[in-house]
Amino acid sequence: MKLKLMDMVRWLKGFPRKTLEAIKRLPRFIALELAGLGKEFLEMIKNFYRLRTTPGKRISLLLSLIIFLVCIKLYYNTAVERHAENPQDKLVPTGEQLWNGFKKTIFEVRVKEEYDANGEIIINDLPKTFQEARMRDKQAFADGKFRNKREMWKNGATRTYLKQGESLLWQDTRASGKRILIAMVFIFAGIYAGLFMGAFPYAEKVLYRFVLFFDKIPALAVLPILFIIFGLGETAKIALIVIGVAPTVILDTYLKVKEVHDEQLVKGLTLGASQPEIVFRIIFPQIIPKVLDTVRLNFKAVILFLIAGEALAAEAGIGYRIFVVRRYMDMATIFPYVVWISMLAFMVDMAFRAWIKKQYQWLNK
Amino acid sequence: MEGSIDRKYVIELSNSYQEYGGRVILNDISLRIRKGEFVTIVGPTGCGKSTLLRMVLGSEKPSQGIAAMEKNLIKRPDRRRGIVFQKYSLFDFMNVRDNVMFGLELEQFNLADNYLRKIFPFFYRTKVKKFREEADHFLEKVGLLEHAYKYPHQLSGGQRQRVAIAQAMIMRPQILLMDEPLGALDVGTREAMQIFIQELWGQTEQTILFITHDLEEAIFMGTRLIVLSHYYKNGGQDGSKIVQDIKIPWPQPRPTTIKHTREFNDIMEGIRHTGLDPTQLHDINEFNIQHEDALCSVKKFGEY
Repeated sequence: MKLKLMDMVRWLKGFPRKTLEAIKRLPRFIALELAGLGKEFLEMIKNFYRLRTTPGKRISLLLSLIIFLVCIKLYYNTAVERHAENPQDKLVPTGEQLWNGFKKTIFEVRVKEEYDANGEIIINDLPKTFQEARMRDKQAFADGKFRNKREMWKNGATRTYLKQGESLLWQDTRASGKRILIAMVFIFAGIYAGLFMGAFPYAEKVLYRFVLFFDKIPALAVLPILFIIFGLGETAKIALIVIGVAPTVILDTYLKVKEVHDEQLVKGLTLGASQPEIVFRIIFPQIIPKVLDTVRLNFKAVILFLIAGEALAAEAGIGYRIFVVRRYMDMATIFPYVVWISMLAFMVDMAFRAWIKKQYQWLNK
Repeated sequence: MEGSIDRKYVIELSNSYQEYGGRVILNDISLRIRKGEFVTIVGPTGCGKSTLLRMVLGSEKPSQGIAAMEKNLIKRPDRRRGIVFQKYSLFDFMNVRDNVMFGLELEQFNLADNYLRKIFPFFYRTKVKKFREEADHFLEKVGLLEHAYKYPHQLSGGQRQRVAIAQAMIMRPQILLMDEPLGALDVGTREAMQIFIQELWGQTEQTILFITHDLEEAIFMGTRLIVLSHYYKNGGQDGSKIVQDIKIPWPQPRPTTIKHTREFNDIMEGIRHTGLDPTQLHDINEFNIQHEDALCSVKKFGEY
């Protein structure tokens, strides 16, 4: 620990010198990179139709970017065309519109209105929008009311504004996140169900056919039934996610347990393990990383069912918001939400992968 | 048998049959294994060597007859009989030392202890330390102490089998069963492991039941050799019988050079002739059952 700290200090001390050197080396570096790229490009032309080749690092990056860049260019062209016809066009927002949409969804706070005894709105001089708050702060800074930017952030109007309430995005994320978390608890309970099902033949006889049958029911088809039974509250949405995803996880766990070699169980018995010890100390540790991988891959389905459930009836939630603003064709709001939920899913996926890699090192064969 | 009071038999099979769906695999096997013996069983492919081992282990019951250990019926695998398989003996998710001390842990800690010791490691420190010392002792015996923190997939095939042997031996089983443990190894490693197992047997006097399909290995390693075969004039019966039960004359550990002696080759030829050659069918009265512990003396068939 101490050693690491010293290393860090040394690294920080050398930092300015290193940066300077790096800047000096930059032209040469760029030239070399370009030369390398050219070489790899020629190699690509030579080997394009070969089966067993390894593309170079630089050309790989370039090639994987191509389709993204083409899509962005196409989108941009469409946006420009449509805005030439109609400057108010909402369907294909330009960069500026999108940026404003991002700012709106992320920073706009729902200002709470306070009423006096007569039922009239108390007029306060707090800023009503994020834009307004920023303008006020900038003005005050120009007037010299704050010594530095830090003080401006601490005592400025922006912070007071943000503290008034929550932004739309955060509200929806919290509502959706709560649903996902509760559903995940049930899905993880499903792992244990699958474990017992695979390990104990009697439990298998009780559960297997039922789960297999349940797995075949399309969850979206029973959505109306769920809403009728559980009402429009949270229960129906969580139930939808669980019904959609848990059978897959249970069955996968079951298969993984069945894959454990019989030799391992016999070996456990000869080492004096009891029946529960075989289940929890021999079978479970072997299957859990693979099952976590399944859960990770099924997280996409979780989000899918979440959005489907929220689209029908909710008060807040990412899916709900997307389907509400759809009515106004508010693409500038839908885009940030789509990006945000994709990013969330990606982050959860990454967290799962990192956890599996760190926790189960014996898998890295 | 007279004068057999001081003899201690670990495993006793008497008149055991095993059949799957009407097809007889093992036909009237009677076998006694004495404490401290190194028994090798050899036979042609599909003759039921592994079935016999599973019967001794307890993961299969004989469809007729008795399989007993120290006068008690064998019902299921338990900690008095250790096992080394050809593959999958080790637990991939634990490192070598944890694998070796796993048996001790299972014996001393129950499931609640296993979770509690992650939360309160202090209360379990002395015991775990003792386990570690014991595991290290066994790892030193098999010469793998420096690999204690590796995972099984980082070891070579021979090393893995050595760990598996240590893992089974730490429970101090009454009998150690080995089901073709060297089957997946290359020739050089195989020979080294043969000598290693012999030396280990010499040091610990562990009773070993060793199953192999390699005739040379079987003769080279054991003190007693049993040949299981279904190539005999069965007279309407099928399934394997013990066709040869002999004592191997050389003292252990044996130098590998004896594999090239004339006597060795004679034994090998004899076994090939009686047990492994499908064209040579012998009558049950011609079986070479000379070992003093052999029960399946053909002459007495009528008396059972």
